[in-house]
Amino acid sequence: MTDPLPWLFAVGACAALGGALVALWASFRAAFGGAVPIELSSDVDHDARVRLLEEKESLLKNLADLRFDHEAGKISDADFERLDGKLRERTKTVLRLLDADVEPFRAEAERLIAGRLGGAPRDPFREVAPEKRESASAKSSEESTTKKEKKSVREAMLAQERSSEESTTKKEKKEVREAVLAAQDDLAAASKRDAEAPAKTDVPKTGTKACPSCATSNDVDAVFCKKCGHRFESASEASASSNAGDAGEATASEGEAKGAEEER
Amino acid sequence: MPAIDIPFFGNLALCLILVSAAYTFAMALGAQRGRPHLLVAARYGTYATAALVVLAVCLLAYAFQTHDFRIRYVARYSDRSMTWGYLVTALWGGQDGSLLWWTFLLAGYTTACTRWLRGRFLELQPIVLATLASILGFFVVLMLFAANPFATTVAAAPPDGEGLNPLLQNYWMAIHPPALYLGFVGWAVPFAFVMAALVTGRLHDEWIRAARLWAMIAWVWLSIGLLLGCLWSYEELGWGGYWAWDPVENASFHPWLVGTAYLHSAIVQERYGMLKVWNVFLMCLTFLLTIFGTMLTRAGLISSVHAFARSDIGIYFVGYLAVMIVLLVALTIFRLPKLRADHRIDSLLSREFLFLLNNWMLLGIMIFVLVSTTWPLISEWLRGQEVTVGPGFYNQWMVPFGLILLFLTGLGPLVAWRKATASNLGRALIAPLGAAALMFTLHLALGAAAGFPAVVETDEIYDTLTGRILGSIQAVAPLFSSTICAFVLVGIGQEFWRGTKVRMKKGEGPFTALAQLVSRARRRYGGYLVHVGIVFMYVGFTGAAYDVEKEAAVRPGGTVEIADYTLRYDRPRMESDPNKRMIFTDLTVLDEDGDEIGRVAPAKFIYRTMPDMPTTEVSIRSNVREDLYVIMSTVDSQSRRATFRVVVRPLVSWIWFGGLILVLGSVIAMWPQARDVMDRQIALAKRRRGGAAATMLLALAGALSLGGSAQAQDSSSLHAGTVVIEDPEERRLFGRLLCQCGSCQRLPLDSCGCDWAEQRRAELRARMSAGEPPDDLIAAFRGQYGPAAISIPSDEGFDRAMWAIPVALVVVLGGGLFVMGRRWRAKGVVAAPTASEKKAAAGADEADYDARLDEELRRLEGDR
Repeated sequence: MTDPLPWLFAVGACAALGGALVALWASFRAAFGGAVPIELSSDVDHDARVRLLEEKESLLKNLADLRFDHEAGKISDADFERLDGKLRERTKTVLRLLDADVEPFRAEAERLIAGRLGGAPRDPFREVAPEKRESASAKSSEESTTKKEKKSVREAMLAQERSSEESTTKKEKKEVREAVLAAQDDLAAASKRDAEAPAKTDVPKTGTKACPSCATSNDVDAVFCKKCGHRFESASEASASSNAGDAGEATASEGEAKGAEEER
Repeated sequence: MPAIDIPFFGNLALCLILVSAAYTFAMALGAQRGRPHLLVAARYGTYATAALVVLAVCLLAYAFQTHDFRIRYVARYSDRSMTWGYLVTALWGGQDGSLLWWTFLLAGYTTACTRWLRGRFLELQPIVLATLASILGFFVVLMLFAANPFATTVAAAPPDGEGLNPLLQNYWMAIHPPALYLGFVGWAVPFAFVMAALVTGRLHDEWIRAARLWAMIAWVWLSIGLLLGCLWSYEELGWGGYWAWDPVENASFHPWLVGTAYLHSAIVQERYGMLKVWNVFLMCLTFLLTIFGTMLTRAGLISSVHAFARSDIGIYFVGYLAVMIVLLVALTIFRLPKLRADHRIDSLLSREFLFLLNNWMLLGIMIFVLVSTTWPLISEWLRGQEVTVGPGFYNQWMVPFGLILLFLTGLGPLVAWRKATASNLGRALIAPLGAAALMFTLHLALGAAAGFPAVVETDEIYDTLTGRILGSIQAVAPLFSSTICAFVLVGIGQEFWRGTKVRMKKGEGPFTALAQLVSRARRRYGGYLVHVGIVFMYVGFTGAAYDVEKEAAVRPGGTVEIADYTLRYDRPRMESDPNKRMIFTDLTVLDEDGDEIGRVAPAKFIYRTMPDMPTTEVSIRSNVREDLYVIMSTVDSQSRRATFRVVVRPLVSWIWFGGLILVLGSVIAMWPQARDVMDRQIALAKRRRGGAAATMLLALAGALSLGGSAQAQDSSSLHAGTVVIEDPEERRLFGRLLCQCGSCQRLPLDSCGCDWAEQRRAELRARMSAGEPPDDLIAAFRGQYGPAAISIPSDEGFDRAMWAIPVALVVVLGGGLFVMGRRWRAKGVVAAPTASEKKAAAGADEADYDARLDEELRRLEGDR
């Protein structure tokens, strides 16, 4: 009977050659164009963010190890408190940095989700639901009043400064100076009023609300929870400035708002 | 069988491998610039290269199976009488084939790593693949230009081959080289990751995490390979030992030491962002040492029983090492700004600092062994004088190093990360120190009665103060070894207990708590188990201090008495098979009461193809306490008188048992956590795990199923183990002097059986009988035959530098560590917040983030 082992190696050699040819063909197709699908990670290549995430994991492990060592009696209460406090502070800083870093992406994600659910892409910062249009218009109307006020004060200041340059007598100069100072005060007061004026929307912009699913604190006008993604269903929770979940409704554009301002 | 032009196709396959590796290298480098399609091309290129390597291996295996003696390599290492199993193992029986075996294993690792990577570490992948392709290319260049396994014989094909060395035709040799090579080759993968990190500048802990599994795999296989080598040496070679500090053995030990240091310090970088430069250095050094070790086996630079024939292949390795060292140094210097530590040591009384001390000792041992191993080269180069560094030198010097390392092994687990409170540490030390004190007292009081005296007699290797100090340490080494072993074992047990207690507070039962403890922190507790294995091995090493040895020539019916045993020589007998004649000598083992407790049958095998090189087949009777080790040196066919060498070796089996525990602990430590498997890309993770597991299983199956050897031996076993020496003084003297017959690998006179050695022994005996002291005889021997004829260099002049420089380095580095540690710890636990970090923190909801942090911790601990 013929020894089978040489045949085995001969077949193996042929199979290896075939495998090499297939792999090379796939490689050439990928390199020089072809239908080979490119499967890459969907992770965002964000170096700084990756480092923060790694640091977060490392800090969490350190905290867990520290707790374990403390429970096992290797470290005193005083040392534990000190080290734990420092590590917690640093971890919270990293968490804050991660949150700040992810905000633009969260907004983009919300826009994409809303677009998918609503059938049309919505811009949470540009597009407003129709029922919110009036309040938006009212808001822009208020804003334009304040802006107009500021503009008139500014023009008065400039005029007074110009007249100050032209006046010759001290008394006149003093009067002009006092007028300029008064105008500056008016301008500052107008800016302060602008900053303190409450937003005239159906839902107040300040304040937070708790997510019913994970109890995380969210902005009051948030549509989705920032941690677990729970969608806030209640109308009272709907935001005037964020995109609404309703489909197919036209919303006022920034141009419309500007147009409203110009009309006034 | 069909006629295939193997030489042609084999050479063609090698050329195609080189082209494919170069193509893969180019594609991978191109992919670095954000062209993902080239990365895909590089991956497929890797698979193609591996397939071509398999093709080459299959062709060579086919040539062996079909006895194609046109190929020089096949004719040299096989013959028609060999069975198919040894024909397979002969693939790596010589230098040429072993290079192809190296390439084959590297191709396997590269394939597994490529599969494992898939969508992970995308920024590192291109350079990882490029590095692995370049290493593959280097070995193919070696084969094509220096040691071609498909080269043909100059003359016509001989009718039959020369056959495989009989010393290589055994079971242990079948699995030792594959395991060792898996360990050696495996370090190329984590090295590829560090190279990628250096090139891309991504020097945070990304590459450490990526390389972790591969570093563990390589370390485990290297450990297994070393252990199997010890077993092979112990059970087959017939000289009675398991580690001879041979240069090639040391060359395998170097990367193991540095790799162990790396595995510890990598943990510190992962946790605290420290030791970045150090870890880069350790990983690069480990890989370079594997190349250096491969070179030592092949270049014939240093005389060794393991070495292949001397060849001019060394220049290729030297060139490769030089290029790599320059490249790595340049890259490291260029990336120094990114290699700054993120944090500092919080306290010298911390596990991080103890890991540093552990690194210090491991590197110190490596430097010492490396300098000693290469001392013959250094001595010849600097002063034109040959010297020999024998096992006696290492056996004495390694004792203090080993004891310090063992102590650090025990202290580390007791100390907390970041900062251990002194009082708490004191409480933690009570039990281990108590156990150590108890063991110290028991050993001192009862050791002698139990056959393990606390203090033993030793030979001093020097007649200087250094020799006396070393001799004193050697004398008390068993006592301190047992004491520190007790300290370490109880300390580790205490760690398991404390961890279990913590979990039991959560309401778990003790066994559940223990199982959960190990399961959720596999790396930590698997590591502790590895330490337990090391302790058991130390117990076995300590037993060597109590060896009892005797030689006797007896006729059938005669007895040999040693320790508590009596061996009765019953009869010789002969058996044969197609390959060899076997001469057995049957002995009955009796206890001190004269009751039969077993039988042993040491033998000599005389192979038909090599009748002048009979092999010694020892017979071993093992139990927990000791091994009875019997060697048959000679047997006279007429008188049936036989010469036996009998050794009682206490505690040897603890070494093998400790090795098993070590491997088990390693497997636990590197078993993937559930969290890692469920992390991000679940489907890819399953394939990755399958890839890594497949690598392990494939390698294990390969190691167990394939037999063979990777190391040719040219020394005749006729020399070994055929000497009758009854006087211990004579044995000590002959052990220091080396045979200069020129046909053996400079075996000591107490074990070389050639005529030249026998004549020298007779002369020396006569002079000893006349009253000449042994030191004078040694000096005279050195004067007559040169310093290379003495197994231990003298402790004077230039030779003193051999131990003085490494010891001075170790002392200076140790002191420097404490000085630097004090400076490092001043910076505190975490970095001060930057301006952007302060801005981000301003106005944030503190309570929310506290809650979130606690939630994250609960998530982490739930997964642990």
